[in-house]
Amino acid sequence: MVKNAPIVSYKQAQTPVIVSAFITKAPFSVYNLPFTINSFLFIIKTMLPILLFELKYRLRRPATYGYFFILFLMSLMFVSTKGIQIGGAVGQVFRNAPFIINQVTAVMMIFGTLIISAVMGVPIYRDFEHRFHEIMFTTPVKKWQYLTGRFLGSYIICILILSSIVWGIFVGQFMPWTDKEVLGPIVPLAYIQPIINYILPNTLLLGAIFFASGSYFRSQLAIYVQGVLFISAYIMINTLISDADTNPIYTLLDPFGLSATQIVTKYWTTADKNVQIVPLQSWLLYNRLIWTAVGLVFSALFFRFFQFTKAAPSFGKKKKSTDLTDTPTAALTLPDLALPFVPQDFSWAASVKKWAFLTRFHTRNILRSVPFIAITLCGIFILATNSVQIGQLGDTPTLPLTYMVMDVVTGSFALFILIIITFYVGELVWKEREVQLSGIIDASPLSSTVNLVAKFGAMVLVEAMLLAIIMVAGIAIQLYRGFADIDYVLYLKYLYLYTLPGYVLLTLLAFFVHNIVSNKFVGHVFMIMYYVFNIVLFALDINHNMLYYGNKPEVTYSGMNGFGHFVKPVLAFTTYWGLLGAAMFVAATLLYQRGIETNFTAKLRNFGQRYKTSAARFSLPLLLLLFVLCGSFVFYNTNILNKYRTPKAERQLNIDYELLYKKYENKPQPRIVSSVVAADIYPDTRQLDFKGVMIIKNKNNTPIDSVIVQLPNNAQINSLTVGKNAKLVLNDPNIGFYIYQLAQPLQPTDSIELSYNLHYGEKGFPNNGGTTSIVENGTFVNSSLLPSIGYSNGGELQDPDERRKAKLPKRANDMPPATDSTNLARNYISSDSDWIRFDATVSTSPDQIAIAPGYLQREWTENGRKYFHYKMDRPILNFYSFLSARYQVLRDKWNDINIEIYYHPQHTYNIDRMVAAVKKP
Amino acid sequence: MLTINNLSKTYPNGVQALKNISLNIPNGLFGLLGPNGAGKSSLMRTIATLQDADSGTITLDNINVSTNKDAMRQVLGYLPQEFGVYPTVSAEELLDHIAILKGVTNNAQRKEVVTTLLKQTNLFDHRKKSLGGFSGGMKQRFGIAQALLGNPKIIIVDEPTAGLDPTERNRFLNLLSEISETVVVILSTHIVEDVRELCPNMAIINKGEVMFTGTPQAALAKLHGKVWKAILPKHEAKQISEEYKVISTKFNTGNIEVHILSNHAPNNTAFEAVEPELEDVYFAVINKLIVD
Repeated sequence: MVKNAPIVSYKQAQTPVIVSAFITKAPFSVYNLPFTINSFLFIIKTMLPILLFELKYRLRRPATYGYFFILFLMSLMFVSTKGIQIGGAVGQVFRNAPFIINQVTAVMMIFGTLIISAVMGVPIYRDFEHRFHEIMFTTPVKKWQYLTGRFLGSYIICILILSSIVWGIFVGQFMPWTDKEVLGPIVPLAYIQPIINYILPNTLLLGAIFFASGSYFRSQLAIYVQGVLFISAYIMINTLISDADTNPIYTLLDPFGLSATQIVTKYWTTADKNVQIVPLQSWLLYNRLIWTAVGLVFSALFFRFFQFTKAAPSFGKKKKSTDLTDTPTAALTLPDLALPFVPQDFSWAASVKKWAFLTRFHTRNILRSVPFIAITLCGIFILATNSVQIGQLGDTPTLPLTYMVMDVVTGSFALFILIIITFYVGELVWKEREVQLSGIIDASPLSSTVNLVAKFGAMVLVEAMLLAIIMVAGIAIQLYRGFADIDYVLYLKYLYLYTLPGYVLLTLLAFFVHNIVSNKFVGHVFMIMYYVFNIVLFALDINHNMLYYGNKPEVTYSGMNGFGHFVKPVLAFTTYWGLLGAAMFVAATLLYQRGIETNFTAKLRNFGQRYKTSAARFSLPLLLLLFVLCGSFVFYNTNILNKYRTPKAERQLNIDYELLYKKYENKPQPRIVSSVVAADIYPDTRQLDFKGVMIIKNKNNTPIDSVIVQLPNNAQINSLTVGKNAKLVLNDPNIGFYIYQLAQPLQPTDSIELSYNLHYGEKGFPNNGGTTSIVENGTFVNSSLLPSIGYSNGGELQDPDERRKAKLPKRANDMPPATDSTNLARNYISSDSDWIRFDATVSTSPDQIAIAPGYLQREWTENGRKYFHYKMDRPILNFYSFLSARYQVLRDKWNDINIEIYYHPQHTYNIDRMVAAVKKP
Repeated sequence: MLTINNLSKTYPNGVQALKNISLNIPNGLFGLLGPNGAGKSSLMRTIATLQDADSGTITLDNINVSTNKDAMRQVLGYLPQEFGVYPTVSAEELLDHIAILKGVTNNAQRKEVVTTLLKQTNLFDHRKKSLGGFSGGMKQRFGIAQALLGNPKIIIVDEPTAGLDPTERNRFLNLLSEISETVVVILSTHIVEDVRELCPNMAIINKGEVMFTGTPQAALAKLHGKVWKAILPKHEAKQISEEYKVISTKFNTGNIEVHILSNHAPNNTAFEAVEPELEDVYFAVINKLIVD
């Protein structure tokens, strides 16, 4: 009986006359079938093979595992390291708290969109692509069986892939490097609930959309781009409406369910977050129901209206003709058999022509290829998304100045250019072999060098074009914001002189790598390993730019100072890596393999043979020699002229400071009551001299026998005296900690002088390019460069995790209690003083104005330098700055009070408003 | 004149593709016959500078091919057995591209030669179409066009007639024999007819060794009066192979046509003497029934 059941159901499904009449009209509609249990079984039975086929197909694809692994790794790294942040700060909440698992899953599903698009967009397209549809659609398989099978198969695969998010979190807890302190107990249900909350419904909704659009457009481009388009539209709309309203009804509009989750967990305490599972209730439940329904209705409609036979919509450009009719050869007419003679040229000039031609040829091929267009479009979407945050400094709106915009647009696009370089160098090197044209090209009299240089040229040209797109995008954003004061030269400098060389270096490396390896895939693996290696090095606290191929200091641009002193280190590092890059490229031309053998031995043989005969036997050693010379120059600057410390060594200074000197924290010390400074600023050489006298007074009830003086450890101390005949009993210039034993103890209410003569100066360039305090135009230094008194806990290591690693005690997070007399004695700015008398004489270049707190007493020129004497008419807090730049000054008056605004001549934007604001009562 | 001396090559996987091959190839069409896997393509790739031999030399006039690959490439036209194209590039564009590689840097002259070759290979009407849409025969003609580009002194064509219809094949072979008066043309094939019709000189190679070299006439003369043919029912044909040196067997209207090699008339009266065909020579040589 059981055995017969399917047959019975099969008949039932066909019997009703009315239904079959209906079926004739719409032969493929699943919705007209009578819905009995039997027919349901029938549906499953007939659809199952297609579903299983889809599963098997996907499980054989390496990409499936790649997607799984990427998400898995991301959430694993999130739990096990501090490096990855997903969905906002964690704080006191455990990294494996149910709330966090839920949060991470919800946020990661946004990235998951790309994977859903890649998996769900292709099942139907694939059949067309491989021209299998002609076979498929002539089988007795019904449309709904085909579509449902493919859809469900892909859906199941997507769920399996996306479940890697929770797997990653789970496994991440057990990694040997995981910090167990930030983990709580394992709550099993917490790993399942997010799947129900987000993975299942989101995948259904997005899957339905991408399945439909991928099948409808049937174009690679659509499949590549649709996911990114969806995400960037989502983020942009979200940013725009985020402050619109807090009415929970709006959370229903969020297809990812993120804002609904926020509403549901809004009032959760840390303890709640650590133990409670985010339930599928209230707004979150409604949200999920609505969007699941949308997904179902959407696919139902698509299944109903999809037609096998309908051609995909085409956009303007015609499809490549696949059914070309060959012209029959005229059998009777004897053709003109004479081969045309044509002059050939193998001179140097001809090589240049070949190079130019090939560069153009390869460039055009890249620009026309679908992945390139898709990646570029994705980059533009992301750029547009990120542009929302331009002109926002915290909560303060700012003008979209060129330097801010160029930073955001270049940063947004960087990843995409990286992908394009990595991908297309592989394409360029292997393309001919891949399409099997290499037999012809390799046997042609084209020199390997010309060939590689042309491919390299094409890549660089493409990079330059992408940067031009970035520039146009940046300008468009500025104009859209109504800001027309665009600095075109700055764009060009930043994009083509700072950014482009970095990409060119990467390109050189990629060419080298692809010419060492014996196939494209291995080349890509090597390149990815190189990126990972860089990240690992960085995580290991190795940050010297001489160790990262292509690295150079970050530059800080300022409207007043331009790129200033950063130009020199950037140039030096770029040259240093450029020489290595060029040497690698020369090596690549020697390794370049023509013909059929691609193994490494053959490449080495080439290298040996060609090295002996080509110009490379001069250029390669020369480049390497120059590389070493340039490296020595850089090293001399970064490590000999300047002190280089790894981040770890920097931290160790803070640790040592605390370990060695914390004991002096509560030792009574005199307090500064007066400061008279002469600051000589030399902007063009970036040097600074401080000479001054402070008066320090014992405000305690007990005598003081020794004075603790601190100075920045980069200060050059010409002299430092405390009172008369004080003895230096502790001298730690590495940390900048000094103890002077007074000849006679300082009695309560007594004062002594502390006089100093200090020098700060830049020599060569350090690894990070240098500080921005003493610069050619726009020097801004403050009193932290001057001596301070006593131990200050501001110099301790702050980061709680780092403190734990260094086995330092926890620092109190809270404000000190109101009974803490030591802290009560401190003002908010400095612990070594109260109100002080202040007098400063500042000198600078004759074309600059120097500023310090106080009223200008006198201004004069002496020895070709400009002097300004400032004096405060009443005591100030012990914090003051010295500035020097080529300022323009706007002077005005309100009643009898002078108003002066010192500004950069080009930055006139808000000056009048500022004056007006000052005048407002 | 192309001279090959004691050429040997063993692949990393242990296959000995070329065993001590020596050949003198004068101007004119030179047919290289041999079954699949005989080493034809290995030999041609080595001549075309695409792989290095382990030992032996190749010289074209004054050019030592293995040490002066660039000079060889400047005078070479090569059609590999299997080749592909950039699918999105048009025939005219790619031919133009290859013309540049062959040093035809003058724009007007390049355009002219590309046009002529497209016409000669009957691709002119489709010159703007993407190569991705080309049929096998059209693609093969494209391959021929590029091999003829740039005044080659030596043309190496590996299985050029595969995929061509009979008219195209004729036309191509005519073209080859026409231009071969002043250049070396090496034509590899497993179609005996191609060689018989056109090649003044030929070689038969098998398993990396040269089995025969000379003119087709000399080859035929070797078997003159020694080839016997019979048409037999299947069961009889089986026995024949035990008694005689069988050159070839093939179906002929339900029965089997057997060619045997014999210095005198076979006892079996079903056999009659026939004039040897080049095909008989070919089979006899590769089956080692006769020694060169």
